[in-house]
Amino acid sequence: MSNYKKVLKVRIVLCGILAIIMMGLGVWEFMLLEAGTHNNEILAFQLGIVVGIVFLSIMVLIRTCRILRDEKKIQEEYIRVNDERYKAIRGKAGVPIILITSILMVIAGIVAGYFNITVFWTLIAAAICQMIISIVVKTVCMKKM
Amino acid sequence: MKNNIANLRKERKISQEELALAVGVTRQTITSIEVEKYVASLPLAYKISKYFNLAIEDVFDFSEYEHEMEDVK
Repeated sequence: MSNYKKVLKVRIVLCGILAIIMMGLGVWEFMLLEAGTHNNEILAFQLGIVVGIVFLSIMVLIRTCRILRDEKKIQEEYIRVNDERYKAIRGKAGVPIILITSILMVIAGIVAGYFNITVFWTLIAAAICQMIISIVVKTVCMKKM
Repeated sequence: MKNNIANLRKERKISQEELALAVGVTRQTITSIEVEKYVASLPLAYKISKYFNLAIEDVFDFSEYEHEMEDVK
């Protein structure tokens, strides 16, 4: 359990760093958007992603801080994360590989978008479809298993 | 896989939550095992049997696998 506390503390630090970096990136992209010197569609999309990441990082940070205050919550969280049925469901839903490939597709889409907007939207749509399928499979498995 | 975990719990007045905490899984996993939706792994089956102080064969019903082995023979 003390090892898991360390994992949670590292998670808090990483979320904090990620939120700060993304806030800086967001400010820079907002300035670029205002200047109108680059492709507005791609920049606006990037800004949306950055805002989403900042929001999620802060949520995870707050949640992890709340868990760390209570020994019982730490134990519950540890059990939840290491539960074998939960791991089996995640495995069937392709987590985390689907998440990683979706993120890579979004990054590739953003880079490709500076050259061809159609490729950008195709990759984004494919990444979203992939994530939706994973969520559906996870939901079905949670009911069936 | 058939099992009599629910009966054993009721006899000893143990909640699903208590059993789940003792063997290191969530309450939902215990529920899924009891309604035969999920088959416990060997380590989990061992932990559950150990918690009740019984042999694995007394907690889980392996008769369907014995029939399968007879069919193969």
